[in-house]
Amino acid sequence: MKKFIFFKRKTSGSIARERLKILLLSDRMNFTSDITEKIQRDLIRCISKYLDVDEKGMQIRFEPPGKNQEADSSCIKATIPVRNMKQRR
Amino acid sequence: MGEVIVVTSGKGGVGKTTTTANVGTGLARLGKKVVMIDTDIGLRNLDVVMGLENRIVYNLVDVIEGSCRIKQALIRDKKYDSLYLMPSAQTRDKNAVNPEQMKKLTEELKEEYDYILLDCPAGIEQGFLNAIAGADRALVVTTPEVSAIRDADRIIGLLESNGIRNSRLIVNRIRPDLIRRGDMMSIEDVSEILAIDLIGAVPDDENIVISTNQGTPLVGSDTPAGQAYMNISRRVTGETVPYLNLKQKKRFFGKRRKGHRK
Repeated sequence: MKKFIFFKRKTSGSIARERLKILLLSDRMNFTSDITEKIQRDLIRCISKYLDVDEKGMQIRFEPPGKNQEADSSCIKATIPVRNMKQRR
Repeated sequence: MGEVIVVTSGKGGVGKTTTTANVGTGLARLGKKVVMIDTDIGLRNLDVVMGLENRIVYNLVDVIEGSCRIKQALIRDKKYDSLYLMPSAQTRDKNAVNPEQMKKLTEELKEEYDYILLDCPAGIEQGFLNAIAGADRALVVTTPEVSAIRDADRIIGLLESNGIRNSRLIVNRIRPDLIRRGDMMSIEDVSEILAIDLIGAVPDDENIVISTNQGTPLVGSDTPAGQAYMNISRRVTGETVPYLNLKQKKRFFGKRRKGHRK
């Protein structure tokens, strides 16, 4: 129902709602921005055990629920460029 | 033993002082003993909204500094004998008070009064920390606007990290016509985004301007805002006042208006 209205006419009320959802998510995360950094550090440490990754190009983002089809809840999207697919030994 | 309730919002101008005045007066109408404290040091307003600005002798800072007794700084309302106001200081800065002192004051007032309502200053600085120090719970006021909701979200987070987890939401300045048209977020949208329970919604009502001009809160009067504030006051006391059907906004306000014309 919500989706139907959404596609029919994008009212300023629904624009406000969508903007707020994204805004608050980043606000809430910034509030504990050190957590994001810690996750990032741990991810690098974990993955670089097996693969050669580009630490500088790594990006972590939080997305609100409903932004992607797979999950109903908020999700973490990490982009980690891999330099070399060869396994480290 | 009374209860200390802080009225807060983060953003300025969303209706904290009006809400404090009306809920305070509403509780007094219900026969409760109420003290309202204006904690906005340097920018006092609650006295003017209550129409008590000419009766101020002592203020909050005088009490904190021990220059007078608590009773001396409490101004009795014009209409309700069980309603008192402790005004803020106009010529002092907000560092004249600290959270421990506020906590001690509210603890003392709790012994004698049923409700202590704290009108919180805008912002998240010292004044805010003072106001929430002694609070048992919070009423978070917001309007259905992006900026006000964003600030309210921050406030809710700060309240939680200070141990106040039972905050309730008041959505102020509702325009049913705009909501129907889709040009204003609905009450459910706001409550869902902020993830706290609603205690009431107040329609945008020109009678608020009139009542502030006159210095007489309109709670309980035959106006949309007056009825909404009375319902909120009842819910604060724990009474279950049925939530009006917010999904059918057109009917809900239409019905209410009709009722008033009778």
